[in-house]
Amino acid sequence: MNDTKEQLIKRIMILNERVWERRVPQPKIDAWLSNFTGKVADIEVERLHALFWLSQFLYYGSKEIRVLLRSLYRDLYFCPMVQSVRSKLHIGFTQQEFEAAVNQAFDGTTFFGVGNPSESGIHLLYYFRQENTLAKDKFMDAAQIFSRNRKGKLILRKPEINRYVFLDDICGSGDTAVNYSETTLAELRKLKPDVELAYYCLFASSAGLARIRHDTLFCNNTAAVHELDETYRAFSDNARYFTIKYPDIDRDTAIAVAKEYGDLLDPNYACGYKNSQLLLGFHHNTPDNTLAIIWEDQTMHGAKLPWVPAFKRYPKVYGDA
Amino acid sequence: MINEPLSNPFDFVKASDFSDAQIERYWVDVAGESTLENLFQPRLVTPMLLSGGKGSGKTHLMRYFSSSVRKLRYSGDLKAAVMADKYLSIYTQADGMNAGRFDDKGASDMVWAAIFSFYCEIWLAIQFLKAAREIRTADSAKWDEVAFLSSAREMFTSTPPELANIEALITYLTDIRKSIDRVVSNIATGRRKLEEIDVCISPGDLVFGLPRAFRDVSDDMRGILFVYMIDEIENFTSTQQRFLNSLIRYRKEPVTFKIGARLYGLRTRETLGGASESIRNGAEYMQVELDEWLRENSEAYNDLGRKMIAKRLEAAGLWRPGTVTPDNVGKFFAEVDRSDYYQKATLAMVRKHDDKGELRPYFEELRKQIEQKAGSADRGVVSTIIDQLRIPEFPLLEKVNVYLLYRDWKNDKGLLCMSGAIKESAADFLAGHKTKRGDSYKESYEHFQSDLLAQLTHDCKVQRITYAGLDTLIHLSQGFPRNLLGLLKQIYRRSLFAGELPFQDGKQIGIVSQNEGVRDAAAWFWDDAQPDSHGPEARSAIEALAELFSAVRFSLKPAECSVGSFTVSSTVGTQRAREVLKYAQNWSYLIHIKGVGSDRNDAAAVDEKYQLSPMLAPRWEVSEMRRGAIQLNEDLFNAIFDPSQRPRLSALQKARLANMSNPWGSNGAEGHKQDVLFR
Repeated sequence: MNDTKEQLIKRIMILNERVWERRVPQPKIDAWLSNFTGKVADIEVERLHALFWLSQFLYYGSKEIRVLLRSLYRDLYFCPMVQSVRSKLHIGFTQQEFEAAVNQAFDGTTFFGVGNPSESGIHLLYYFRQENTLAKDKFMDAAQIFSRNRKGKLILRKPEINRYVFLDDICGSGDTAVNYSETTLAELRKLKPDVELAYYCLFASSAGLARIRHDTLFCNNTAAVHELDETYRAFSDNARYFTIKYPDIDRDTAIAVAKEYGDLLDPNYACGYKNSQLLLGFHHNTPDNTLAIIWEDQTMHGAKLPWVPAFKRYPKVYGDA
Repeated sequence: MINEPLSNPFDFVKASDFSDAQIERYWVDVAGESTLENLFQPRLVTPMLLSGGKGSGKTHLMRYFSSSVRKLRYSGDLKAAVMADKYLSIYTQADGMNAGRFDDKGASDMVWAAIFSFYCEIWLAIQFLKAAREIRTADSAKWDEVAFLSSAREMFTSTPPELANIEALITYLTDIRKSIDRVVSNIATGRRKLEEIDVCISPGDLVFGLPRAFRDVSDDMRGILFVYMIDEIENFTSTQQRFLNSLIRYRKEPVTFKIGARLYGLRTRETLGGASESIRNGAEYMQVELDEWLRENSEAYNDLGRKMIAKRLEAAGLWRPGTVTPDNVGKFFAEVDRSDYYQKATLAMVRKHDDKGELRPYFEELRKQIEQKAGSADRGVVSTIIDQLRIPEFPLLEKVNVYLLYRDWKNDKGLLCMSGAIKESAADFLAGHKTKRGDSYKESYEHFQSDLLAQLTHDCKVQRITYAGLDTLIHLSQGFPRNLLGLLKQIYRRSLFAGELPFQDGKQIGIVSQNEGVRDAAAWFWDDAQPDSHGPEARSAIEALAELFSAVRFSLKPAECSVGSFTVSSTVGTQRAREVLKYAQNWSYLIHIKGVGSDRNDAAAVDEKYQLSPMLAPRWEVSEMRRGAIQLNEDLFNAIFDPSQRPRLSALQKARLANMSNPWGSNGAEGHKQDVLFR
């Protein structure tokens, strides 16, 4: 067991040094491991399996997020937009005509962050603008989409915009996009039936993407830079985390440790929001789609056990309104 | 928030990749008379072969004394450096010549030898002329350039064109070099032929002639020694090395050579004239083995190691220069508390068993051994034996007691009686009484404390065997500065990860961080020193050897203490075993200990002694010391080192360990009766 523990610690040390921005040094790991007190299995066995989960944690630091934001702009928005413009031009178009058409399409685009201005989707817009050298006026808050005329009728604030691009960091269940579609986007489509709506995110589960494509007005204009398929779900039959075999690491025990402690912490989030089962975190936050044992915290999330998180999650605090 | 430098201060690049300024910046020498400068003797007229294992510091040493680095001390003025030092040294690396091209492709060795000699001569001449040009530029009034060029032209068998200045001579030689490059590079394609190369000088004419002509036309250069430093000659084939050997054998004033090579780097001592005109150590050249010298001068090496650390930390901005002296670098490394027989550490090891009310693991093993031997022994008597060996506050002394019982088991006094005697010896030892039995106990403790502590650590399975403290780390590196940097690099990483503030605010690097770092470094060493040829055989032999050492160390009654070395008669072993032994030594897996003496079984033979590199000791948790050595007989030696004899290893090893594994000796259970055991 000691050999496996040493192997895992070494892996974590390298991850901490190279990828995790040195956020989880050994004392923090020790504090986190002390959460596991033998409620599910022998205490040392529990801690070894907890260490295993931590060693599989997928983290995207500040630099990586910026690179992904560049990819999002280039690969999901700009290149497809140019292709679309080109396909609509007449045969034998000139360079000038082509550039003018691209500029027109670009000018008619505005970017939005998904969610409240204090949330991560919006937070990323700042870096998205920087990395892609975009002008400030290419961005709007969702609340600015609409205005009212003198008669109090709902109108579009910028009727010349015909391409609304919504950006988010992660899509787990797709709930956020569905809510948007049912409210904001429905109103928008009513006012401008030919408007193009797109939802792009850095990470999305395959199920979440499928739901958005099926259940929202974004339809097929929905994409992610990094699609998280079934193998990213910690407890799925083909979970990628168990492809490397460690002596002393038992899949069932690992799942039991994560699930049962998750349940003790908060049954609603034991396996991540809506059973997302992810093991993922970002420089700016840890999504609630990740297993609860990683991020739960009694003070911040009201966990039912005293719990030291390995990676903090800054929660959304909803007001009464 | 950890105040850490942007990079690990012990990250290293090879000295060959350092700039001249970095060579100067990171240079350290030892205090006293045994300095590296005195070893290297830059003004020594006799040619020197500076050999050493990978990472022993050969390149750094040679480059530091090269004129391009020396001049940095004189604001970049090469002439000032040469005048002050009384030598001009030109450093070049053998691999710069891309010597592998000068071989095969249908031409004979003799042809290639002639062409390579020509190329090498041109190469060295260009390096020299570049330095000469720099000196001329510094003070052109004091030398007769026309006379120098006139002499230079005389050195060619076909007269070169008129040369206006030294620059023109450099260009002329560079053109020749490029023309050789073009031909040699195109031989394989069939587009060029070696016959196109016109060898227009005789060997040595430029290498010796140009410095002499330079000296003759410049008053300032009188009395200056010109040193060609050629590094990494292991990159030359033996045919190519014969040219260098010829230069060494037929050296002419005012020129000499310093040659850098790996341990196995000198492939031949023959010259172009053949075996009858070989070069000999102590006659035509003197050989210095750098890592061996550093090991033998252990105090100097310790000082060097401490200075290296101080220098690195200053360079990384962690220390202000002069704030920490090499003498007190050691205070930043935690050490094991040895007081009261390692009481603190050993009590922590056995606590788990004490808390559960279990027998401590070594007593549990003893109980099993007795029951295995005596069958349904009287449990009460077994308990009494164990009780007599107990010293609960000092677990390490309990291990000594158990070891003594195993050691003496096969005599016929009976375990009960012996355990009583051991109890009395331990009591005398603890009380400091000067008795024969107390002294004998003390001797056993002193000899075996390291091994028994290692066993205790293994028995309790709560931690790894400890390798900590700066002196231990320097010892582990065994005369290889790069190994020391490798150790410190990994320890620094572990320390940062552990949330310590290494080398800051007087804080110590903990034992756990050192321990983990040492193991990481051992893994790095094992992976890094991969022999390019015969690697699998050498590594397999080392694994077998280390496992044997480990089996001795963790046996019930080790025959030798701190086993990290073996001896073998110089006359035994198959040719293959001897070759593999050599490979393992060449790649620094093994260290040859010189001056061991004659073989105990054969007065005509000499024993050879080899130590497992201490860098590898943590990998198998064997002793890093060379105090104890086990004698390998021919069969066992062959089974370890000759792959074809490997199938015999298991049985031979078992036989070799039989006495150490069975407390009752090799006679087996029949040798004793139960009543004898408990008498």
